[in-house]
Amino acid sequence: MHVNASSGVPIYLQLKNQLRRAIVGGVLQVGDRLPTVRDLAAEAVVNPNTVARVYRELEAEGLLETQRGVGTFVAEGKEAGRRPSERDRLLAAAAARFLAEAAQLGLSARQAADYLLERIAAGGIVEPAEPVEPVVPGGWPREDEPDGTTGDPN
Amino acid sequence: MSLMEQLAIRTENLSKHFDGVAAVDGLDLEVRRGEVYGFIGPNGAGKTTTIRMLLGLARPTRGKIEVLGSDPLTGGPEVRAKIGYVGEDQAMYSYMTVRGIMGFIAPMYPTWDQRLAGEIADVFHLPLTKRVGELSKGMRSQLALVLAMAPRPPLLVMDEPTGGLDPIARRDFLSTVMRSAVGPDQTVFMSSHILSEVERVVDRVGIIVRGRLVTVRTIDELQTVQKRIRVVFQGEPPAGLLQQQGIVGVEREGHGYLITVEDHLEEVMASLSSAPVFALDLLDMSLEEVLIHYAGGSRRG
Amino acid sequence: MGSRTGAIVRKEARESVWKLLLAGLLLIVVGASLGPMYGLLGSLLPPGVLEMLPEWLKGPLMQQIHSYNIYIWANWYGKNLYQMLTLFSVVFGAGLLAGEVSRGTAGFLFSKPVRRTQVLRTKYAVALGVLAASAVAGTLAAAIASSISGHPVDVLWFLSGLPAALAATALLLSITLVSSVVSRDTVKAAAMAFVVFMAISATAFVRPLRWLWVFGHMTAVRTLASGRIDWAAVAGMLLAALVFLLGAERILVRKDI
Repeated sequence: MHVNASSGVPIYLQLKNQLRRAIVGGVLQVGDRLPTVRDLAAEAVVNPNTVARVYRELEAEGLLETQRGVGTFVAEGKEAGRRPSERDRLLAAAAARFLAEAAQLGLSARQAADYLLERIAAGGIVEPAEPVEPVVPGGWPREDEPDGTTGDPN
Repeated sequence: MSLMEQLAIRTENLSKHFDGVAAVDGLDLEVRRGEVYGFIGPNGAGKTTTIRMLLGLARPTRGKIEVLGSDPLTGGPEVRAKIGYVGEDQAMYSYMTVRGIMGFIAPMYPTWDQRLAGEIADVFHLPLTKRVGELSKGMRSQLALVLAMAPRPPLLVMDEPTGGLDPIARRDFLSTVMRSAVGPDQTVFMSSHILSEVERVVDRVGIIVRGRLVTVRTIDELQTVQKRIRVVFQGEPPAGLLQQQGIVGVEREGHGYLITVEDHLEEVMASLSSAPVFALDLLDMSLEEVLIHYAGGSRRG
Repeated sequence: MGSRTGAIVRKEARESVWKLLLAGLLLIVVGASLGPMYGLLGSLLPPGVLEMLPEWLKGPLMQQIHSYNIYIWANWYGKNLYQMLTLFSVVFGAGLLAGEVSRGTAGFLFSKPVRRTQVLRTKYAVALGVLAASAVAGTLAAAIASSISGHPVDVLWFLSGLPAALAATALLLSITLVSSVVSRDTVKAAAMAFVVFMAISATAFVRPLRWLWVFGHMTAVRTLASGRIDWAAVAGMLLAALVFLLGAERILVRKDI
């Protein structure tokens, strides 16, 4: 989990989006146990109240479920119907940004799609969507996550 | 629970004068139980003076203070037994070893948790047999945190606690605080110059300038509602546009204006975008810029 | 509460070890030298010089040469002990609080769950204990050395000057404590205490104020002359010490650290 305090996006929103992406993208599987509020707060160096709020809101959305005394887990897919559309929503938004950028550079949607396929075929090297975070105030140095279950899929 | 019991810290018209100069001037502070409160302001604004009064180290010239329901001056050691304090560059007994100073302080707190003390000392790799005088400034701050957190106090007061720590150590410091010092019955009151840190860990921010509290907002409000708008009008700005509700500052910048907004962001954006403009940009204000805005405004005004 | 006190006592004791060594050893050495020195007194004066001395000097000197008791009391209680106890009262007392304030540790200490009055009393008690122990040790050393050098003294008689000396020390230390609380600097505190002591010295020259002359009481001359301890003076000085101690506490409680 990695948040940037000065990005203008509230921290709780950043955390929520990162967690949501992790769940929707399958990095976190159904039944995976999330860190405790305190553990995640300590790891990401954010306020535990913020983490608690994120867990609460994601639980309200059906992505998480809390078992008292046991922990917080990625919820069952009885809401599974929502998950693909979650993914759709996020991808659609990303695609829209990409196409808008391409349009500014004079490419039609078709041309942009072709460009994308070409680049992937050429060796799978695609520019990262976010700039690599330098070590500056507001962002702690990234830590390598050996297991990847709580890492940022980006 | 009454309001009184919900507040970990409450001051009413708190003032402190030195030689006729008011270092703290009519401060009305309210810190709720369980919250992390960031107390920020320019140098000399009165942060340290306020904190010293919270601990009963200094006597107010005027006004009331209540810390965990008691007056720090008359509450005696019982109040301080519930407060953990990390001061700015705290001088400790340099001849004592790390283990020795822990043994010196521990009997003073009925709630001292030796296991927690050891855990935190481990996280910081504090050398137990070294004398305090031989420790670096950063390690002394870390030791001060061990001494402050081991009793699991309901209130943790920190005054510029991470000065002298490198970024990795600062991260560990704050991480430790987040893990073990925040809870429904655990309040954190901290002043810090390192605003990027403050932004990520606090629930609310109180900005003190010249001894007065100029604003208290949640960190969400500051990050979502406190914004700057850069606008270049075609011609003169429409009458009354720049005096709208929510706009707290207007500066000229080249051909355009830099407008600082504290509230009613959507309405301001709406009215600006409906005006004839060449360019309209919404800029985030970092906490630093917010502080400069309040501190600078106060100096001009 | 008990262990909190214990922690403070241990800290003060640890910080006072050098004081005990300094004062204790010095007073023992000086005390022990008095016995041997007596023999030198007579032999130091060349024949014929004694007759040339003025009467006011000859009298006391003859007394001392002829009476070992007078000699040892005059040199111990009348000179060495009271001078050293006065000096050590200031040296050990001036830094008791001012030292911690100037080092910055006072802010650390008083932000912890301790009572300011308890800290002050503990500091005072430990410092006084060091001075008292040193005084007793030195007095005993003087008595023992007297015996060894062939001039045994009645130990109980010789110790009877101590109540006055110690009561006076308690008073001088408590005065120094007040200046240590008032001042933020050890040197300034010492200077302040010395000024007060000089004022006390001046009372020796003003007949009606003679009873305030603490240093005179310290020499316990009345005890030497009458064989009885002046308990009124002892009680008076202890009472005054208490007054100054309470005054110091009062000031400390109201002060900004």
